[in-house]
Amino acid sequence: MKITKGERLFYLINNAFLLFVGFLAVFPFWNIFVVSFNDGRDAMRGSIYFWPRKFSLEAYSAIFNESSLMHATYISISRTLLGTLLGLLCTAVLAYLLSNRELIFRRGILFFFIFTMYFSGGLIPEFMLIKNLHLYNNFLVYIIPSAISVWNVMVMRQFFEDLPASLAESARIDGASELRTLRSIILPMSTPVLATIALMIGVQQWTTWFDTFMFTSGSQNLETLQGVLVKILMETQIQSTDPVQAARLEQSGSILTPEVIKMATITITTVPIILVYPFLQRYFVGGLTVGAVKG
Amino acid sequence: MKAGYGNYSIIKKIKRQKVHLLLLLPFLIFILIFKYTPMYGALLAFREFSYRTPFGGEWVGFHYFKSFFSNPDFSVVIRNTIVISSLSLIGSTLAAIIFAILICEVKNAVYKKFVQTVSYLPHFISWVVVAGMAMTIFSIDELAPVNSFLLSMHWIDTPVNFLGEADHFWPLVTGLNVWKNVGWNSIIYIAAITSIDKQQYESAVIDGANKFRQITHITIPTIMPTIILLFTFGVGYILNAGLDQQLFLQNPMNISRSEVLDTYVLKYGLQQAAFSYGAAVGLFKSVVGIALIVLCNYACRKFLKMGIF
Repeated sequence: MKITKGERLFYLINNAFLLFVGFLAVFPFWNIFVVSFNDGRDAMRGSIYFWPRKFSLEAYSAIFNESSLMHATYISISRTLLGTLLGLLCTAVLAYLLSNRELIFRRGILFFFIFTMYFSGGLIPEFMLIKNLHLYNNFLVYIIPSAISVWNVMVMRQFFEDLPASLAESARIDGASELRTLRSIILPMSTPVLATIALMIGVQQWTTWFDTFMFTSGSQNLETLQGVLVKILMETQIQSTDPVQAARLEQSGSILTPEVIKMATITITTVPIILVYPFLQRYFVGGLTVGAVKG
Repeated sequence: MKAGYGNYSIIKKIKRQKVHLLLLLPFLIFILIFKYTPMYGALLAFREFSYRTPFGGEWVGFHYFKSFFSNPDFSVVIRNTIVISSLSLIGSTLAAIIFAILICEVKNAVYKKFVQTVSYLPHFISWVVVAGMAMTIFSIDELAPVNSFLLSMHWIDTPVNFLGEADHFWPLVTGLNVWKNVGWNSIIYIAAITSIDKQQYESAVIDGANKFRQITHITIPTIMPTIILLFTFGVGYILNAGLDQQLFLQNPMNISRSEVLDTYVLKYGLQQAAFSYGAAVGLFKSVVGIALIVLCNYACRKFLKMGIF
């Protein structure tokens, strides 16, 4: 088909516009990244956009020399690994059990789970519960309460239900147990949805700060990277709204400024996700549309 | 359910599924503890807080609800919550639809993939990071990216205090919500558009329809059910303006526009230890929330013949 003049103009404008959208999505990350590699005092002069002006690793060496931050990194990594593993296991088993169409009291059991997606007791009772279960100030608070997300279970259940039922049936006839059927027949066919859910749980575990803030009384032992970042953020916030404060800091003469430390911490918390997700992307687009359309 | 199978009594069925049910049991208990116990605990809203019993002591009826409704904060907090989440819902929906339509018009597969991949990026970072970036980029400092750009274009004479003035809070937080979610939200619209039959466009072209008319007459009407469904779904969550973004971008100067139900519960309920009061506000939010969801679902069923649940 011939492309008209008007269409050619449309494609040109469209491509340029989308490039701009892409730029808007990436620029903040790039800018933070670049500033974090710049000398702190020099960065206060502003106008650093695409490239560091005075390259320096001071911010990073300061961060990695501070043991509390290394410990926070360790906590963040362990909770993400353990949380994702346990979460994925629980989600898969529960989703498989619920995908059985012949399950007795099926409607009632499904309602029991789904109701909690729409109604919750609220923040205060949850806080009381965690305290009463002695999970307060306990590493397990990062892992256990979040082990099952009903939303994720429903997405995976939908996927399992769409698999041909005869496969599980024939495995059962051959004498395979429930868990054996899940492990040897269902899971190997479910890579897309497993990858999607693993990514969702992993990202959630890595990015959440709220449980650190709520359920650990600021104890150093359980501080996560996001928790540290929140603290740095609160400290630098005054600076970004108050010009007098900013000017005073500029005169203070230290090479390191809270601002570069903030940039470096943001970079450290963001890079792992940026590295991981392009590899999983081809899975999650499929997984997401399956769950969302049918709900 | 063939004949024969239906004749099994419940007991026989339970026996047949006993391994299955046994495996299910721990999950039922988990949900009971972590989801339903807090629901019971929400009764604290009707009781006086006490350290001896976990979920409160003496019953006081609607006392804490009354004090919330008669509090001058009530109207401010409700207004902020509804305004912020409506602006975000409308903004994010519109942006996602436009983005999806435009990206589907891209011919080069590699370029298309690239823009898409990049657009998901903000979805994967926490609000802490977004707030941190926003504070740098929108800082009042005349050398900060946005202010220095506006100054150099001579659109403003003095740096704008985006973060410190109450008037800027709603547009700022809406913009950040759109930025963070546009790529992710568009996935579902892209899927809907991709499933449109290509022949429809071909015959429209033969009838002399240009790009704009193809979009308004084919693309948008076809994805309309998806749009309405997701939008109605969003309306059900109108009281969830989000906690993080408000909390991190909040400061004494913009509090009149940034205080929402979630930050309010956190502040008064937990940090000032007014547990019963906080529980009452939280319960109010949950009850109105589920009422809205049921209502929206009913509307979807009735007018669209499809439901969320």
